[in-house]
Amino acid sequence: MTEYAYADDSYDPVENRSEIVFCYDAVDANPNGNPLSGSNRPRIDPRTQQAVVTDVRLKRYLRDQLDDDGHGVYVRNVKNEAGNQSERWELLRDRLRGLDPDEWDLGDLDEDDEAALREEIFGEFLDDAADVRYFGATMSMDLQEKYEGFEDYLPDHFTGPVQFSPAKTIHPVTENEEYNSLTSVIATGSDKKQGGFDLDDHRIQYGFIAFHGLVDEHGAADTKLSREDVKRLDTLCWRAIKNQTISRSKVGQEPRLYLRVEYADEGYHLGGLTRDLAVDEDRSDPIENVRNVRDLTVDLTDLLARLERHADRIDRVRVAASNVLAASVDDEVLTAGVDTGQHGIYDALRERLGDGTVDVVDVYDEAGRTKPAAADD
Amino acid sequence: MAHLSARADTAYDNAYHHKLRGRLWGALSGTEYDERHDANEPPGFAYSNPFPPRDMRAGDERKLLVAAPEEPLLTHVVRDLQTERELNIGEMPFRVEDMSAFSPDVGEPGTRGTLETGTGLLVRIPPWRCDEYGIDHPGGDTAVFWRPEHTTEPLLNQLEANLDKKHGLFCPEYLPGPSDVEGELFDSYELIKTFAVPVQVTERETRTYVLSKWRFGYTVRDDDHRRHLNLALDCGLGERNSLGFGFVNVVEKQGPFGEPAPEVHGR
Repeated sequence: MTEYAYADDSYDPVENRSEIVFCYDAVDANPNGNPLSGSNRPRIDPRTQQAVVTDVRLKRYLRDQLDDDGHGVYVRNVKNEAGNQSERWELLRDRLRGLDPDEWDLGDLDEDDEAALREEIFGEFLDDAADVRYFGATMSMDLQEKYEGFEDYLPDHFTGPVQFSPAKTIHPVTENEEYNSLTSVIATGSDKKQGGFDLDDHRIQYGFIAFHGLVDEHGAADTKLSREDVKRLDTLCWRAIKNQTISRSKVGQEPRLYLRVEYADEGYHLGGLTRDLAVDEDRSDPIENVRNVRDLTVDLTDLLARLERHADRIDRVRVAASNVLAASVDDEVLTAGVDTGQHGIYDALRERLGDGTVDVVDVYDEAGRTKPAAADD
Repeated sequence: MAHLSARADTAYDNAYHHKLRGRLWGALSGTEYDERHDANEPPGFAYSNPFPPRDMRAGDERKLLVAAPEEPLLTHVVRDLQTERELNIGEMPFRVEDMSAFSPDVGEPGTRGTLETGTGLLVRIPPWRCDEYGIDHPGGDTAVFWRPEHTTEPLLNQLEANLDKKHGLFCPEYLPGPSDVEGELFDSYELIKTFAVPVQVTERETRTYVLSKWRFGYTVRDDDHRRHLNLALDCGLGERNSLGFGFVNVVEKQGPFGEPAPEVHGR
């Protein structure tokens, strides 16, 4: 039992650590603007010229998709529904109000009692706030007066067991300087200017973005993250990029590769899997000429070799690849097969890790089974 | 979307096509899109009628939607409407009060919905295909306007061929077009009405076009199908989109997992 476990045996807790590689690309888009720059320019590493996308940006996409799918979300997009965050906060407050401090002898709580106390106050809130289960949240509760002392048994914030690192493109990018954006035209042309923002529009011409994520099985119990929640990530990441990049500056982004490596051994993960990705320069256009995914071949040689070397520590790999993504391993070029569900990447993984280890994600077939109602069944 | 206010008490003018087209091409004048005016190809934009379509009093609000797959094209239109806020569509004088942008989407795979052809669909059967469809042709080079007695087969074939052409013009060439994939664009077809309108096609010439209004039901099969249907939203269905025909709206949308979609635009 971890420090902040919950007395709820109705969910299936996460037991395996997972490492995630999630790649998408951006064509004529601003995958992550930087409002501090004054002109919302794409974030670009000044030394390497790689575009940077923060984990906050990705989590925003994921939260919005959870929200659209009907899951409870605590940290909401203000523009969507300002009211719901307070509703969830009120839920938490009401739980606290319903708590009778006299029922709890704080000096004499064993581990099970502590878990029951946490379940009493936070359990329902976490069941109803999917994003907090994944990414955590900071909140402060007023535990003065009659609840004094309870704070020792309750977390003052939730550390998310699912962590993504800021991503970079696997190559330098070129900024599209003179992009005539509809967004900027509309924003500056109407009388509704927002003060302080320069609404010039800046985009990168092409970027292949690689996110690295980790699901920590130890932290999972702190937020009641279930195995079902982790499995949902396999479709959520993909669909979030498909569905949440509709706004003008974000349009032109497509998921290309998703890989979740689920490890067999507790506390073990390889780490840094995205650093094993590279542009196959022999099979790609010169990087400054790349304008879409067809101009690029991603070199997976190091990634697959590394996974193969540690195959005995890998329980399974869940994988989805775009049918227009070309990859290479050593001298072999891997592309999609004739039928949906076929890709050379899947076969290469099977060869190295074994048939039974590789599990191809059928995103849209599977997504329906992770909706809130299905999870409740 | 342009938010308009009527500048005078006015009867709704159904013969607005020519004037509105003139304004939009005017906005593209001198830009890289100008040459499309004379090219015998889909123009790459579509637009609604000023809606709701009924008589108005001064100050009444109306909306106008302009759609295109290429954002810079819309940028020119927006700039023009912002610079010159008076918009006279035939006998209907408006002022452009505000502009807003959104990106309509038929939804992710599994989404069911309905598209409605807001402005009427123009489909012509070329003479060389009339035999194939068992349609009597009067002779000559004149195309035959689709009518209900011709059955839906030629209509759907022409719609797909037309969208194929637009796909070739506006989508990456490595992605399959509507005719490259299995499955139909739509899974239900409801004819609302057929009607004829006189349309001024040039300064000197007015023709009568036979149009039809439809509700097309769809279920998004996969990403390719999603792109094809979204292309129809951006470019319009059928022919003479530059005259405002074939503009389609999403009027119903149900997400793949049963929940209603968050937004349906254009009503």
